[in-house]
Amino acid sequence: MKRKCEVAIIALVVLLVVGMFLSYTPSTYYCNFTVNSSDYDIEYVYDSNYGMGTNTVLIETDGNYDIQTIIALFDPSYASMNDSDTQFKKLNYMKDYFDARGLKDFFICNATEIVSKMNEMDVKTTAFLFISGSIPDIIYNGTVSCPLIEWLDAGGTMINMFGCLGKYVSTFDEYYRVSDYVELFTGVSNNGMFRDSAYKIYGGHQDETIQES
Amino acid sequence: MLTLSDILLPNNQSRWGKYLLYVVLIGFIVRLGISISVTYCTDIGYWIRVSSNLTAGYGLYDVPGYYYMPIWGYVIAVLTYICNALNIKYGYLDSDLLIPEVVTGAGQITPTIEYALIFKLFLIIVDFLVAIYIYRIIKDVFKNEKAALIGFAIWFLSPLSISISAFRVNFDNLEILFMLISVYYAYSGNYIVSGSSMALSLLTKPYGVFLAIALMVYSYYKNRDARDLVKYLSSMLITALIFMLPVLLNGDFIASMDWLFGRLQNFDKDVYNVIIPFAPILVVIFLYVVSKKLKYAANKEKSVLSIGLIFTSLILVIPGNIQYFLVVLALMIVISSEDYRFTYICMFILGIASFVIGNVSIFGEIAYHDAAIPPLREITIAGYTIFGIIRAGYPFLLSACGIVCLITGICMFRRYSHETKV
Repeated sequence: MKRKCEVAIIALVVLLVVGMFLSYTPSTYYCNFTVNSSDYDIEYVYDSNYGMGTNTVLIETDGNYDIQTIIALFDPSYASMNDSDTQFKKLNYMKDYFDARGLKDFFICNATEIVSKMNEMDVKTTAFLFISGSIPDIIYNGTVSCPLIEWLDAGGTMINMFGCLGKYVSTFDEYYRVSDYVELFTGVSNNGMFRDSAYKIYGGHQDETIQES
Repeated sequence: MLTLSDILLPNNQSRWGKYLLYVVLIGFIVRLGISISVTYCTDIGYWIRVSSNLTAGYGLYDVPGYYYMPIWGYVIAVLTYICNALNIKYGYLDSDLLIPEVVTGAGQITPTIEYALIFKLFLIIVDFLVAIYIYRIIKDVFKNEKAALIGFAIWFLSPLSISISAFRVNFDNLEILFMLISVYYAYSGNYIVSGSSMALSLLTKPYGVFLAIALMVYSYYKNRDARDLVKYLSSMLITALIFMLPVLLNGDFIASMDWLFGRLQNFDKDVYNVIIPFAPILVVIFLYVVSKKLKYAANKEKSVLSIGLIFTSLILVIPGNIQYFLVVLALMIVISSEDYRFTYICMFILGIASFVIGNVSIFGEIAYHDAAIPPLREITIAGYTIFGIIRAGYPFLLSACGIVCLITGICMFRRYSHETKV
C-alpha cells in the first residue's frame, strides 16, 4: 500500500519525460486549409488532427482590390479597449508580417493623421488597420457622417483586428458603445451576425475579421 | 502510512482517520466546485499561448510565450496533448467579456472551461500529493500522527492552496511537491531520490534553492559520511542534466532563465548589481554558517527546514505575487508540527493571503465573465476603484507577510538548532 505514493511520483516523472519528448520532437499536429470558389459557391475545407475553434466572416463584395499601402492607427492619447503596449507590440509584429509578404508600405499614424490620409489616399490601393478595439471619435462617431464610413462608402478598405467592428467609439477620456454598429457597417440588422450560421461561417480566426465594402 | 485506500476505508484507520476522510472530501469538493465555476485569467493566458505554440510545431522557447524553466513546460506539453486528443479548444479573446480598465495583457485571453479544467485537475492532484507528503514527513520523520493530520488539513483546506490550483491555475505546488519529496527521502536516508527530486523542484521554480543547500549540508552531517553527500549532489546534477538536455542542445538555456533573471531585475537595481557579482561569496558564507549551525544542532531536520524558511521568506519581503507564499506555507506547516504556536502564525499568513486573493481576484474574475451585463460592469469598475485604495497597500501587506514569515523562521531555527554535546 505504501508503494502507491511512490507509483504516483513515478507516474509524474514519466509524465515529465513524455512532455520533454513532446516539446522537443517534431510536431505531430497538422492543419490544412483550402478554399475553392466558383461563380455561385465558395467552399472552405479545414482539415486538422486537433481541436480548434474557428470562425470566418464571409461578406459579399463587388470590389476588386489591390492593396499596396496599409496605414495603422496607434494613438495612446485616446481611450482604447486594447491596452497601448499590446497594440504597439502587435503592430510591430504586423509590420514584420506584411514586410515578409512583400507589402512594404506599412505606416503607423495617430488619429488626426488617419483622418487626413482618408482624404488623400487612393481607395483602391489603401487599407486602414485598427487594433485598438475602439475607434477615435474624429475618425468614427457611430453615424454615417464620419471619415471612416465615408471612406468605406467610397469603396475603401479597413482591417479590424480587435473586438467587434465599429462597436466602440473613443474619446480622450473614455469609450462608449454604438448601438447600431452592425447595420452601419454591413447594412444588415443582426447583432449576432458574426456567429450566425445563416451567414455561412466556415473557418478562420475570430479576431482577424476583414471587412471590405 | 496513509494511502488512498486508508482514506476511502476510514474504519481501518486510527481514530483520526474519519476526520481525514472529511478533510479530503471537502478539499476535493471545494476545489472541483471552484474549478468548474470560475477561473482567474492571469497566467493561464500564457499557458494557452504555450499550448498554441507547441501545437503549431514550435519548441518551448522558439517563440514568445514561455518564460519559466522547462519542467512546467513539459507538463503543459502533455496537458496540451490531452486537450488536442479530446478536441478541446484552448481559449478565446472576446472583448465583450472584458473590462479593459481591469484586465490587460495576457490576461485578456480567456480559457475555455474544459481547457482550464484539464490544468486544474492536474494541479489538484498535485495539491493532494503535497498534502500526503506533508503528512508523511510529520508522521514518519517527526513521529506525530495527530500533528500530521493537522498539517494535512491545514494544507488541503487552506484558501491559499485551493485558490492557487483551482482558481488561479499557478503551478507553484508542483515545485513544493518535489521539494517535500526531496525532504522526505533525505530524512529517510535515500539521498539519491532526494537529490533527483530537488533538481526537479529547482527546475520548476527556484525558491527551494536555500533548502537544497541546507539539505546538502545535512546529507553529510547526518551520518558524517561523504558518500551520502556525493549521492545527493550527483543525483541532483544528473537529473538536472537529463531534463535540461534538450534545452541545452537547442540553445535555449538563456531563454529558460528568462523568468529567473526577470524577477531578479524586478528588485532594486542597486541591490541586484551588488548581489549578483558577490553571489559566489554569499553562497560560501551561507554554506559556512549552515554547516556550523547544523553540525551540532539538536534537531537537524527542523533546523534545515527553518533555514529554508528563513531565506525563502527573505525573498518574499520584496513584494511579489501571492502564490510565492505557498512555499513558506508548506515549510511552516511541516516545521510547526508539535508546536502549535507556529501553527497559529501559519493561519495568520493564510488569513492575509486570502484577503489579498479575495479582493484582487474576485473583481478581476467578475471583469471577465459579467462585463457585458451593464449593471455588473459598473459594479465591477466601482468595486475595483474602491478596493484600489486597499489594493495600493498590497505590496506593503505582502512585505509584512514576508517579514512575519522571516521572524517565524528565525524563532523556529533558534528553537531547534540548540547545540547538543557530542
